[in-house]
Amino acid sequence: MKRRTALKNVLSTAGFITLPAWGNSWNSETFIQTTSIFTQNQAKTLDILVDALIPSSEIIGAKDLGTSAFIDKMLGDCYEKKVQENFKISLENAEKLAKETFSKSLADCEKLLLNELLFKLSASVDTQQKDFFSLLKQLTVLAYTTSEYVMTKHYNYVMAPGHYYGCVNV
Amino acid sequence: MSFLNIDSVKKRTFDAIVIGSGISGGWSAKELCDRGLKTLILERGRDVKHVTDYPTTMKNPWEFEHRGQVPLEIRNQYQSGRTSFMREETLHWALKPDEQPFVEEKPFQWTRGYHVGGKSLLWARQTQRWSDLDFEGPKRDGYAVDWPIRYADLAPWYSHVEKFAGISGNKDNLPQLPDGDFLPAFEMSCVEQHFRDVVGKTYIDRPIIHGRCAHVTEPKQIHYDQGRASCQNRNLCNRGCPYGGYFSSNSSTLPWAMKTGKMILRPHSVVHSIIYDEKKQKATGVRVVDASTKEIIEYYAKIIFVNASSINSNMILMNSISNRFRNGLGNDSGTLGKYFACHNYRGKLSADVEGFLEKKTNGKNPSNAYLPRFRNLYKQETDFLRGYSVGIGSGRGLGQNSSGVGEELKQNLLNPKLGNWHISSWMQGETVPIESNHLRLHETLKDKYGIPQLVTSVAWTENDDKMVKDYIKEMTEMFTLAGFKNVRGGDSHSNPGSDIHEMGGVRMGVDPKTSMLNKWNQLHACNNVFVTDGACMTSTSTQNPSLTYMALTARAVDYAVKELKKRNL
Repeated sequence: MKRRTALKNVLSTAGFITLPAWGNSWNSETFIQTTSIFTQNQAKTLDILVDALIPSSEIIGAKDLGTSAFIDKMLGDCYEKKVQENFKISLENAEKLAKETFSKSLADCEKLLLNELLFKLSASVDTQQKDFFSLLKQLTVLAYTTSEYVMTKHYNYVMAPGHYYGCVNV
Repeated sequence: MSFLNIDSVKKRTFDAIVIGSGISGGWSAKELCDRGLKTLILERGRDVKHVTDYPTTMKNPWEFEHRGQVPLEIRNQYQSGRTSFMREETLHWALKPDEQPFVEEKPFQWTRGYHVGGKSLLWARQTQRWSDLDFEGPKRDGYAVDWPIRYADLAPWYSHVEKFAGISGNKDNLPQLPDGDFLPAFEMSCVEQHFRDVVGKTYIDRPIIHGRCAHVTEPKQIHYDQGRASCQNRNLCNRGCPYGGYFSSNSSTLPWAMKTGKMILRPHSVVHSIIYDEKKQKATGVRVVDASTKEIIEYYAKIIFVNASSINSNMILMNSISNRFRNGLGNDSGTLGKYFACHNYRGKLSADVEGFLEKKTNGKNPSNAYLPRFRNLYKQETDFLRGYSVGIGSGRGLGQNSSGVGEELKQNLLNPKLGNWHISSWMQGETVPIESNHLRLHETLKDKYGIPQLVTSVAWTENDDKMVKDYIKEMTEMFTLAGFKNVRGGDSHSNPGSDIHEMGGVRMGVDPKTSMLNKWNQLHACNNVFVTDGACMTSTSTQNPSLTYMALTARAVDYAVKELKKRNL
């Protein structure tokens, strides 16, 4: 939080009013990522897939809310080694699949192609690929829907409502 | 042995000792200190200060590193499926893996709260009074022994604790669920109101009301004096409430007792046994194992309140062996550890609700609707003894739609739609205490404090099975009558103890030959020892027991202090 406050101060003296996207992201700065379970290439692929799953527009998407770092942390701490390994191999396979299907690297694929690739993964008959996709999506959705940005800006999250009305109009 | 010198003995001598700081121990502390007694509170776990020791209470979902999931490395240290509070939000309440192993002769779930405040920080906060239909149960139906008290004995003490704790509820004017001194109740949802109306019209004896609960909905001066404020409907109760919105020892009785200047709290004190003096023919103190140093220390007092939680109170008495009491303190009747019982929570049903689509709820309900016992209320009507109450909850959530990918997925997530209403219910069945359902100490196994391990031998009976069946049948009928669809669920076959309402083993009764405690919660055979937690319960009723522990405790302290002043103790 300190960093955000400091950031706010800097920005306001510089004449900015709104924070940049990552300034509103969930407090990833309080969870310092010291180790990663991914290689650089795997991490890059993860970024691309996460961004494709929930892209940024005027409304911030998953990648800009630190989702990749969250997935890294979750897999590393809360999942068995077997699941982690499958996830890592599947990231590499996703890159291979892009090359096979579109004859280019994931990084060079435009949105439509990425969407197509995601659908391919989701409909895959290969259980490894399918499991990977469903875990990727599950964790991305979790990161996104529980981010400070989405909860406060889009879900009207209130920790302490201060009331309970049992029967009100929609 | 430094503790043998006179100065040291003096320092370790108090007017009263309370074993345990949970819901009943907190009340012992408050009532004893209010009456000017210098009181030592022994707690086996660590200290938990109100507010400052609730580390997660103000955390937002995104502030949990794993969004609530406990990392594998930590999770694997605990017994899988048997440890409660295995969430990032509440992990600090979970029982440490090596703290207190026990032997399940028959499968038993034992949930413990080993820290100051005990389970009063973690309870479900339902607080229904018992009635004479409960207290007269054993006598009418011929099981256990007759309670030595009736509702009239307890009624003023129910009021006493309700006013202080802050209990919200409606005056419902029901003989099976006496009204109390209530703060305003929470509301029922549209669906609960509909259910109440339909059931009420068809069954004259099945009034659905709002459960009474220990939440301050409209603080009175007495609550402000405790430093408590109104419930904020956060429904994050088991992290500890910084507002003191619900009653716990930590937010209420303990700081109150502390303010008197009479209370000394000693955490990390695992009670080994109660010391009995053969010459004086009474208890003179308590033997404690310091949890950190494993040193054995003795504390002395004129009266001892045993509020260690039902099972631990049993264990402490069993482990208090002397020439006079070879089978456990006060155990002339041989009933210690026997007739141990809990509540039957096995039946659970839920259903879909059609309609009410123009209505929703707003805010959060920390309580639930409640159907008091209707079976065998005035006479025996079924092929099982006693009956069950039913908790009822309903709501309408925002459904997460995570279909699609890309912009479509994003729009789906950002625009959740109100789902349909749903309703659920759970039974709370009275179980009939029987001799074979018992606790005892293991002959050889000990824990790391050198205290014999517990053996649990508690099982469901045919009566419990029949009751679950009846609940499923009756509740399905009521749900169907109300137009609810797809009724599902049934018998969870959960282990005894899963309700966390352990009761008995040190039961109250009129006759010292068949019970441990008299009508003042005083050991028949050692009259300066009082047991006022769940261990004292003669029968189990269908109401949540905590409020009754509080009332019994306040009443017993009042009596004990009067007796002390008359020099009878």
